[in-house]
Formats: sequence, structure tokens, C-alpha cells
Amino acid sequence: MITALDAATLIGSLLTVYVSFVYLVQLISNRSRLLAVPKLPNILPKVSIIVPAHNEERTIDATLQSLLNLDYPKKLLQIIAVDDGSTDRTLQKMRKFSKHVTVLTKKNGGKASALNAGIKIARGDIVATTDADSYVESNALRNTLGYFRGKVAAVTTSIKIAEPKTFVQKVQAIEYLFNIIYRKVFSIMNSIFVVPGPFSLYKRSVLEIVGGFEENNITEDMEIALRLQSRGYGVENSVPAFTYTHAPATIRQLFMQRVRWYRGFIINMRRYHYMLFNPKYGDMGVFTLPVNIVLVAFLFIFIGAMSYSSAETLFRMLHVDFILGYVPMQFSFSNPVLYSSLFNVLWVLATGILIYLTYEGYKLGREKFTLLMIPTFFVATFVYIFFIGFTWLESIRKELTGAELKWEK
Amino acid sequence: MGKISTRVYIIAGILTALVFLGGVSLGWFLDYNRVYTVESQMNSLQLDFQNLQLENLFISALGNNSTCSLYSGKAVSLSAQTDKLASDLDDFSNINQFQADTLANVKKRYTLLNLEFWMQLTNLQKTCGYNATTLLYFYTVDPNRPCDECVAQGLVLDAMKKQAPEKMMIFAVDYNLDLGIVKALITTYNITSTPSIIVNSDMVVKGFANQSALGKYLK
Repeated sequence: MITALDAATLIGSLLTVYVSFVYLVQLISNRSRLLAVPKLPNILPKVSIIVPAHNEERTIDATLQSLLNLDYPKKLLQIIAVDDGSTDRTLQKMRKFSKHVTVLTKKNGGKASALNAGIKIARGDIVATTDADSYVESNALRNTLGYFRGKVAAVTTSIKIAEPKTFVQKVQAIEYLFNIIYRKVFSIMNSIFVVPGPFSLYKRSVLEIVGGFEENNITEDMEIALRLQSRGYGVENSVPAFTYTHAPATIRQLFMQRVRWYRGFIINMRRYHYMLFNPKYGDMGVFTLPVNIVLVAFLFIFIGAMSYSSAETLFRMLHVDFILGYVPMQFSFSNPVLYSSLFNVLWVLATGILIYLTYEGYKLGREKFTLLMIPTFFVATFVYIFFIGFTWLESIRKELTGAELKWEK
Repeated sequence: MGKISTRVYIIAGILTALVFLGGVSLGWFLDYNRVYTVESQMNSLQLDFQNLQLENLFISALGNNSTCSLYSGKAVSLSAQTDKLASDLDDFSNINQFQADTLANVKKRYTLLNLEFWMQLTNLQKTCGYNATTLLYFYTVDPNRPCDECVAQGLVLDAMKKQAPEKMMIFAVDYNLDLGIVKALITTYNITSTPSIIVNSDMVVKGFANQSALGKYLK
């Protein structure tokens, strides 16, 4: 007998399969575009790279060094390091690079305010922003600048985790590889709704027209993407431009970061609600944004259904155990095919597409998938989803109760 | 107006529909296979049982007194077959989505056969001193009102049967099965709750009974 919960799970599974197919079809029909990089303009543009930093003494050296190593004429490069009221040795470390780097210092006002301070003195036609805990590959600029054509106002890059050490970082490393695929598919659909902090580029003239970064927004990188898209500008993605960033090392840090991201999503969706289901904004309006919201709703249904049935099974097992007074361990091996149902078929297929997309992510991310990664991959795919659901709940709770907005790293 | 990838949405929609139809067909095919599996088991069980009955008649007609020894040997293997069929029937009833009615009918046929088997053994106990204990076990499998005591009772009975398969014969009957004979047994033995066990057709153990409580009835 099919219950309401079964029906909701079935619709959720079908929607997941549908969305996966949309991405898969986009990916396959645009295969030639995945790694292709548009030719650089004959006259190279001047580029200003802004590095906002607040207490980043441990990583700022390597970030600035990676920028100095960029394969780009030095006379066309302006690097601006903005110390956002750090209380550690960030400023001193920045000053060691003052021969090649313009160092600004200001009272702590948040990442967006530091970026805006940098934009004010930027002279480049293109403004790039880099987080102070991220590093770029030397060809990152050459692989991105060619995308600035027509209405394209921003270009994103492929982000990987720098030296993943803890298990939490290794799980994120898989997630980030997966996102390389998604970001590219979103760019094909002109649907990128986050221009990530680790390394992204903007047309300075457009940034000035739209008024720079919003200083009181906890996810300014999402807000600027939505603002650009809502005004008809394009956001592109270059897969071969690689950036490495430090990821939260513990569950707690990751939880704080994701709560900020998801709460930022809620805030920005409320602000840009008029884009939802609006064909004026193309695929982003009719598909990408609504699907992201609907999938979160189904994530709750899925987690609710899983938790309920697991709790019920566990409770019944304990009850039976209590009646018996001992646990009889009985293993029986039955024919798995004979014991399958429609749900299993859908889940096997959705998981198959997921594995294929991850495989593509590994390939595009120039990583090798080894057997040793299977446990991490399993956690990243099937357990992480519960963590994500829980963070979403906390984000919604904070938004509903009007909790203080804080920029948690 | 932004670009909308209508072609991609349609292709993805067709693929999803194909997957859904494929899934439903596969689900139907698996359901059909499950029904086929239990029906084959049921048919083979029925043949074995008919054969046993005929052998019984034949030996009785010859005036031979070896009926009990014949039964004690063959009943054990027949009982193992009925157990397998019973557990498959319960498992498949939970999974199947398309052939619930057919499964319910197989379950009824199975129960009738099981009860016939039980009655035959009960008769033999009286006529020639067949010495295994018979347990007619009533349980419920309502997903809305799960009977954890029944699950526990089933585990206890399984464990006991494994220890001494020749000493006890267990016949499981779904309390809620819509069959006249089941209702008649429930009324005759005044069974009001599950789990309940009729021991050797003459006494009823009501509620969960552990191994030591049931052990004293074993001959």
C-alpha cells in the first residue's frame, strides 16, 4: 500500500532523476565546451586583484605569492591587499610584499566593505577577487579573461580544496569536485547564482554601474551574482582555471559556514523572489532557482521519511529485544532482485547518474578516483545529505527567529 | 527574455518518463516473479502433501501400523517447506505493489493446506500416538498496528524448531485471514489476542511465551 509519505518520496525521487537528467543532457550535448577556453583578446586588459583579509596571518603569504606567480604581464597587474582590521599579524605579512602589492588597511567592516575599498583604487578593466586563504594556478587569468565578451560581467573558476587533511575536508573535496560539473552546467544554462570568493573576475565598469558589493549581506558572493543576472548580465565559468581554497576542518566549523551560506540563500531568494518562475530570466528563473528551493523541500521529506522509518525500526527491534530478553542474531541471504521494489530501481538509477557526474567531476578536476576513496565517497553521497538537511533546518530557524547576522567563515 | 533550454527539458522529461515506466515495468515483473515463486512453492507443497496423504491411506488400507513412523520422517521435511513458503509470503506481501490479491489468495491456499496438515497430525496423535508436539500459532501482520510480541514469538519458535525439528511441528496462521476455518478455530479455542498458541489441539497459551514456558509442552 502506498502512503502519502511514499508518494512524496516517489515524487521527490522522480524530480531528482529529472533534474539529474537535465544536467546530464546539458553536459553531454555541450561536451566540446567543457574544457574549451576562448582566445585571449589581442590587447590584454589591465587586471586588478583584490585580496580582502581579516586575521589570515597563516595563509596570506601563500595567497599573495600565488598571485605574484600568475602568468600575466606584471605591468598589467595590480594586486591590492586589504587588511580589514585584523588583530593578528596579517598587515605585517602583507607589507612584506609592498614592493609589488598595494596594501590598504581599514577598520573591520566585513568582507564586502574590504572588497569595495579595493574597487575604489582599482585601475584594471577587470577586477578579480581572491580570498586570503586561497591560491590560484599560474594560468588562472589566461584561462578566464577570454570569456569577457558581450554581456558577460563575471567569470568563475574551478575550486578545489587545498591539502584536505581531516575527514571533513576530504568529504568536502569530493563535494567541490562535484561542484565543478554543476558550475559548468549552470554556466551553460546562464544560471550561476554564486560568484565564489576564492577567485572570481568581474568587469570593473559593470561593478561600478551596479554599485559594488552589498556590505551588510552575509553571502555577498551570491547577492552580486543575482544582482548581475537580474540586470541581464552573464556569468561564465572556466573549468581549466583552478583555484585552491582552505576548507573548514571540523564539523562545527563546516556547520557554521553552511548555516551562513543557506541563510544567505534564503535572504537573497526573498530579495530576488521576482526572478522565480519568471521566463524573463531564462533557465535561471524557470528552472535553476525554483529547483533548488523545491529540492530542499524534498530533502526534508526524504530525511523525515528516512528518520521516521529508521526510528520506528530501531524502536521495534529494541521492543522485540526487550520482550525476548536477548538478541538473536540471524542473518539470511535472500535473492536481492526478488526483494527489490520500484523505489530501489529509481534510487539505483539516481545513484548511477550521481556516480557518473562525480566521475566527470574527478576527470574535469584532474583527480584520480582510487578505491581508497570509496568510504569517503559513500559518506559524501549518502551521509552528508543528512548533515546538509540539518544545516538547512538551523538556517531556517535562525531566519525565522531573526537571529543576528554574522559572517562566519 | 532569457534563453530557456526547452529542448533539454523535454529530453530530460522523456528520459524520466522512460525511467519511471521502466521502473514500474520492472517492479511489475519482479512482483510477477515473486507471485510465480510462491505459487510454484505452493504447487510443489500441495503435491508432496497429496502424496503423503495417499501413502497414509495406502498403508492404512494394508493394515500396516507404520503410519506414525512414516509421518515423523516426512512431516519434518514438509514442515521445512511450509516454513519457507510462509516467510516468503510475509516478505513479499510487504514488498509487492501490483499483485496483492493474488498473493492474498496464495496465502489462503497455504493456510488451508497448513491447517489440513495440522489436523492430520492431530488425528495421528490420537490414533497411533504420533509423538511430536503440534503448535498452531496465531499472529498478526497489520502494518498500522504492529505486533512486536508476534515478532518475538516467531523468533522464539524458530529457535526452538532449529534445536529439535523432529519434536515439534509449528503451523503459523494469520489471525486476520478471511477464512471460515480460521474464524471457527478462533471461536472454538476462544482466541482473542495475538500471539496465541494452540498446543496439541487441546490447550491455548495466550500472549508471548518464552522458550522455557513452551519447553514444558515438548514431548
